[in-house]
Amino acid sequence: MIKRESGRLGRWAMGCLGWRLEQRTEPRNQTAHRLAAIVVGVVIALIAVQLAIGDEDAFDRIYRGTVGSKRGWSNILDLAAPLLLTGLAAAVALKLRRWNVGVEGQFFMGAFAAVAIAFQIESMSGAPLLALMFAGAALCGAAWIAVPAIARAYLNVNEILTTLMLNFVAILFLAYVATGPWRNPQSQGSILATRDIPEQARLPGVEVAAVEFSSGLLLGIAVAVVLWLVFRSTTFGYMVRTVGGSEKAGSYAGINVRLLSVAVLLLSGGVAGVAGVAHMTGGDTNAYATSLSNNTGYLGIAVAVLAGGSFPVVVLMAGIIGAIISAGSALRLLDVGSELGSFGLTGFILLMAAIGEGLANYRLRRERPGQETLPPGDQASPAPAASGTGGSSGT
Amino acid sequence: MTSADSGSVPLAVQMRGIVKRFDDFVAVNDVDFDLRAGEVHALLGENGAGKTTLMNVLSGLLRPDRGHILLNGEPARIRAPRDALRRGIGMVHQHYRLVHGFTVAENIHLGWDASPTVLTPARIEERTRELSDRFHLEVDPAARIWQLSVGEQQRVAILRTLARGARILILDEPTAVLAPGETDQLFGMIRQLSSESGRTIVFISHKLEEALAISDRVTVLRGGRHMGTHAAEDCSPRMLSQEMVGRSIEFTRQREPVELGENALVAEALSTTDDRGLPALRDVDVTVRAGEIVGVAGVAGNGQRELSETLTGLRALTAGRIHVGGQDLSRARARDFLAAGVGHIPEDRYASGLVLTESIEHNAILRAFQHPPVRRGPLLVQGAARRFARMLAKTVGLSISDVSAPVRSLSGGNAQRLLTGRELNASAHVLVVVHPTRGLDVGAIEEVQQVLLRARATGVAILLISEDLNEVMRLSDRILVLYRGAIVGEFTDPEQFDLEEIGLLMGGALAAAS
Repeated sequence: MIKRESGRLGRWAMGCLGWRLEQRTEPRNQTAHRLAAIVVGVVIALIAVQLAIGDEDAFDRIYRGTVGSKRGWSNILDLAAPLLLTGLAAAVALKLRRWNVGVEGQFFMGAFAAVAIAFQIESMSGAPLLALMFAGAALCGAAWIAVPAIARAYLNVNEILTTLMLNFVAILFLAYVATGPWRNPQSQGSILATRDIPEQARLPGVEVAAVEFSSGLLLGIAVAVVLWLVFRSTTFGYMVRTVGGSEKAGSYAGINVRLLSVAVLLLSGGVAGVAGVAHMTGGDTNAYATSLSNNTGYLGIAVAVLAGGSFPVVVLMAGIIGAIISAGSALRLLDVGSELGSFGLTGFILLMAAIGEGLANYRLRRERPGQETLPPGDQASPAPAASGTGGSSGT
Repeated sequence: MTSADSGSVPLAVQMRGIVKRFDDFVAVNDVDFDLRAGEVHALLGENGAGKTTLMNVLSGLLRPDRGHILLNGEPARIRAPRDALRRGIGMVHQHYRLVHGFTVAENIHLGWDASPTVLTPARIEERTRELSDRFHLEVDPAARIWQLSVGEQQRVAILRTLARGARILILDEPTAVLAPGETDQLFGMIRQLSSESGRTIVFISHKLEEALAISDRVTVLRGGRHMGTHAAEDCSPRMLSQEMVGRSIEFTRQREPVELGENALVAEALSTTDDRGLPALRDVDVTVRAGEIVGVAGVAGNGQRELSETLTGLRALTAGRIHVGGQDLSRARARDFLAAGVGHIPEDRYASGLVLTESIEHNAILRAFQHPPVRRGPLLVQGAARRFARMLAKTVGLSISDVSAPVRSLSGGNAQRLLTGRELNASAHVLVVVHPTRGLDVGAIEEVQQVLLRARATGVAILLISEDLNEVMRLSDRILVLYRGAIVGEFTDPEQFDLEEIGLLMGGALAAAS
């Protein structure tokens, strides 16, 4: 096997210090590396905040806006709930090495189905209405990915492009709905929204240890548990793992790979639809609006990738990203804009995580000089450590 | 041991005390290796003996952990293939690393310092033609690689290395994918390069006869250690095989006579297309009776893959019929074939036969997960799956304690053992076997072949598709020769299998079947 080696300059610089990057044959625990990368990212981001704002108050505000207060906690949890569901949606597709980049669009379409049901059926209320809204949202999210799913399975059309492009269609569709019969006469400016959804169609809040949050979070956790169980201990999950490992092995084992691929993407779209309605009916939002998503769909993909596609880790990562966005929002009260703060932070931390991902495949080794034996005549002058060619034997 | 008798001939290469580790695995352990200028030197050993690793060190692809290299008596540090080439050492790898969509001329000139700055097809084709004449290696400069046979591709790879000034040419398992006729051509080429242009040639192989036929000297490696270097005329296959595996192997085998049963697999007038939609099989008739091994000989790429895929439901027929035990499976899918008792040992065991990312347990139940006791309704019963995997591991003699270990941790031999055992377990009647011993070491080859013979004795009908002609001849009761998608010959008497005649048919020389 050929070892990939780091760049020449880097190798030289590290060689001077007597260190060497070496590729691992078996990668280490990925989750630990991702978490470490996030910690490094947060620390550097905090330093950047200090340099940019130079205000003693900034850290205090971040602290109080996140884990330092009950309101902060409830902010985090309300931000984490939709991220958790969109993260799960993307993770479902990743199990089959598919990229559902259309989580955002399915999120909107799920919310659309829910709002349509809430407006049209006025006779129902409470649990039955909510159940119907969620079922409709799941179906509508799945329907929104059906064409990409079938095109991928039967015509081998790249699902990244098709799902992504349908996001734009979904957003335009939203604009159409929000300016049509359900338009909120009070809405103004660039934000388009329908009128508020009726009170009986809202998810109840939950309060734990005086921290209030939407029950959407509990729903998300329940979905995570169910998905984890399904993928772990059903023949469906077994087939997904087989085909995800090798499509050829899947057909060899008698699995209908195309049908399975469609089913998994529909499931992914369905979960994304549920994310949309959970977000719309919980938390601070009250209507179907262009401001509904705040890129939750796209961030969900990042959450799924950071979690390595593992459902339990998605729960953890959704919480972390939720906290980071809260921290960004807390800075809004200062001069840094909310968008800028949260996206700057999130982007930076994702970058760190990506670097960590790459580095997880390497390890640092101390180079010891003079290991490579030299031809007899040359023995007097040992190889300098900086040469970088000497083998450091097993230490 | 090493050639102290080098005499007046200068040593072109001296490798001394070479050690190469991959983590804890010592691939090459304190090996000395010499090359005399102008000789053909066979480097012999089982898979995993360290042959390729040692030569990767010489050609600069790998750096040794210890040891040093002298070229013509001068110490040399070879850090990259580029360094090696500058000193006239070039290696032709087992996979030729050619760009399939490019022409021969483009491949020759790719990444070469001496390529002209302005590359026009006419110009590089002219240069390629000159090189082709100079080295007496006939190639068509304008042909694209995918249009060439494996033997022709090899010639391009060799020419590319020679063009870059290689005086020492390392050929890694060059005969592994060639037909007997192509092998003869290659040997002619090697002799010419060595005698006329004075090239030194290292011939890596695990085939004893070939090594003896072509080389002046032979070096044997076993388990990363140097076992001996001999003049070829002083060697016998038996003695070399003893050095290679540490014991002597049976070269002939008395096969038990087995009473043949019913026709288990009947395929009539099979036709199908390959992945590009071109005809791959034409009117192929195959019948295998219970207790019979039917061998299919042929050069790779003559329809073997398509034949095995149609007979296991992985590829649709364009015409023809398939019956298994009287059941019509002409339009059936893979799972129907499985249900009918057809097992399949596929050629690409790491892509089709096994899921590398998953555990031994996951792979063990690949054929059993849709049936009780492993399946209960929509659920996968973890306990039953584990028991099944342990049972299978025990049956095939897999010495592992933990079936949840990743399947990639198994050696090639163990992986094939698991796969073979699983398929035998799944296949009540018919087993379609493709290249079952490719890439395995001698011990594992022996074992897999024994397993197949035992299955035959219990009345399984086996279709053996292999590019190893010796294997086909040793195991089969009947041999069919596949050439360009059609059966061009049938040999029915195991006593009268004729290597030469089969080889001729494989190479496309049409002759009446015996």
